[in-house]
Amino acid sequence: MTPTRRDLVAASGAVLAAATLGMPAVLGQAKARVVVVGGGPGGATAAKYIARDGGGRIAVTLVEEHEVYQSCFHSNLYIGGFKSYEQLLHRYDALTAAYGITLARQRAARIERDRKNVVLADGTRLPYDRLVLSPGIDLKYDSVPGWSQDAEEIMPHGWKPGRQTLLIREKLDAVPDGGTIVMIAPPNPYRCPPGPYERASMFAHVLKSTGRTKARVVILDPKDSFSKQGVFMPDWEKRYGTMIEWLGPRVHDGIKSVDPAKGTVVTGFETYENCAFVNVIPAQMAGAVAREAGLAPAGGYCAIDPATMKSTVDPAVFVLGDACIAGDMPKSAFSANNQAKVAAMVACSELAGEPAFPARYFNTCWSLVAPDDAIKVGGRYEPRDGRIAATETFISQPGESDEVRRQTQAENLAWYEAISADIFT
Amino acid sequence: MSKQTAPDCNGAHAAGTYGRPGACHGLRVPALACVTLMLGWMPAKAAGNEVLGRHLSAECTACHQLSGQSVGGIPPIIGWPEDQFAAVLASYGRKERGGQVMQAITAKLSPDDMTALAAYFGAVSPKP
Ligand SMILES: Cc1cc2nc3c(=O)[nH]c(=O)nc-3n(C[C@H](O)[C@H](O)[C@H](O)COP(=O)(O)OP(=O)(O)OC[C@H]3O[C@@H](n4cnc5c(N)ncnc54)[C@H](O)[C@@H]3O)c2cc1C
Repeated sequence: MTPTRRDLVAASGAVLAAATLGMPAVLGQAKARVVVVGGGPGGATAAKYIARDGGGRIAVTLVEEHEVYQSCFHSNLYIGGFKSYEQLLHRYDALTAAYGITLARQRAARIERDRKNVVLADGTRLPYDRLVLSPGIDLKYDSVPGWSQDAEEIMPHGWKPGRQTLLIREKLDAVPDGGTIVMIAPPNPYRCPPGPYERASMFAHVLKSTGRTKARVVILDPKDSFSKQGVFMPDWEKRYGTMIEWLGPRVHDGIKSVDPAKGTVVTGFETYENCAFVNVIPAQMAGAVAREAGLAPAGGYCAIDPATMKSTVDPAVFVLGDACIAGDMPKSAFSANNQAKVAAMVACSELAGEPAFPARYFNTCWSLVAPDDAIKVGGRYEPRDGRIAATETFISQPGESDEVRRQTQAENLAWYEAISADIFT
Repeated sequence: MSKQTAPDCNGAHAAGTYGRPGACHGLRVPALACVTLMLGWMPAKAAGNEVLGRHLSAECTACHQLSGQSVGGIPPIIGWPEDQFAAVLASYGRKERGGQVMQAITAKLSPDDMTALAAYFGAVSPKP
């Protein structure tokens, strides 16, 4: 029998009723429970906004293994000597105190999605109504032949915070005049698309400003092009002459292997021996906790519904930031923070009956090229055809005035202060 | 060193384009706001929807501090008269005010969105 319009209306009424009944079932407990794994820009922002906007009807637990968050964003400014390492550190005290968030200072060992529990390293089970995962990235240690986790002390990546970032700066300081730094850039998609090129700029700046003008930086890239390339490359020439050399795969013909013991990098085109230091930035994937929960069945990262930031595998789980596949949005702290606000809005609507609005996204990535000389790229994004798609984009232009570049760097510094406050206070 | 054209970090070819032409059609400064800008005064009234404003503000607070602190290149935006706030946003939307970030942010804001943001930020008072 074909359903009549009346039946359909009745049926949708039933669905609606079930949905609203679903909510009190959750509300029937004292409070709905949200567990957030990962206290970076994605997770900490989500925890804050859900606790703040949930009308007191949502209990939020933030699971984070580190006591202090160390930001990768602006770590290149530390390497370049523009920030102290202390300026990259953020604590969770203000966040937990201001919004009544419970902090579980442990590693989340695994997720029991069938029972809706997060199992902590000590065996504690945290039940959830909604789970937010923002664990960042893991490195693919086998993506560069000859390199491994054991080799990361000798050939550091500096793509996760802490000791690795400090190592990069130490090795940079030890480069002799005339020495060669080889950077192996990562394949797409990876954390912070302009990051390797901003870092190469900082290498050249430190070398040049300490009189090591005969040292050089060779970037071996598996990609044919990179973020803001049309602005970076003329700027490198202007600021650093020939100190930075970028080689794409058509020139180097593939990175065949590295030898950490000897400091050698072999490409199809040439071999670099006795490198002053080699910065290997390997391929990346979603943090283990998300992958092992079966949320990245097709490979490295987790697919999400662009309208909600929910996993396409499990509607009780949001995946944010570097761990998710966010379409045209790059993996950045700005993006993670922005996506978290969409997830928080959806969670507060489903669990606490707060109003919902259509998802909208925004991002800007600034990069410092030289003192008082920054460039940017960014855009606005919306859900379209099942993905997060760019609707407007903007990018710095080559040859902009010194004043524009100075202003862009002022913006970059101000952004860091504002987003840190938005995430952690 | 060879020079190449830049794909932006998302692979969208953005060089030189600040949004689609016509993306901000329909954005007009409300007549009242123009008057306010000219006369420089207007009694504050909550015309905008603050709940919508709070939602939309998520995009703003990544760069503008809610504390009202002015840092470097990014001005504080709390406690402004609502009509002026909306009028300034509208002028970014029409690309009359320069600034790539603000032009992109405002390109898809409707006049109602702008007054909602004005109401939300207008009601925030600086932290002591
Ligand atoms: C050199 C460099 C420069 C960058 N510059 C910029 C920039 O200028 N602007 C910008 O916007 N972005 C920048 N980024 C990118 C930015 O750092 C990331 O995109 C951002 O940190 C992603 O946030 P996230 O929340 O996804 O993950 P993360 O910041 O990695 O946070 C994940 C958190 O989860 C915790 N965690 C993971 N697994 C578990 C578990 N199982 N249990 C408990 N806790 C867990 C981790 O300890 C960590 O605190 C840069 C990155 C690099 C490497």
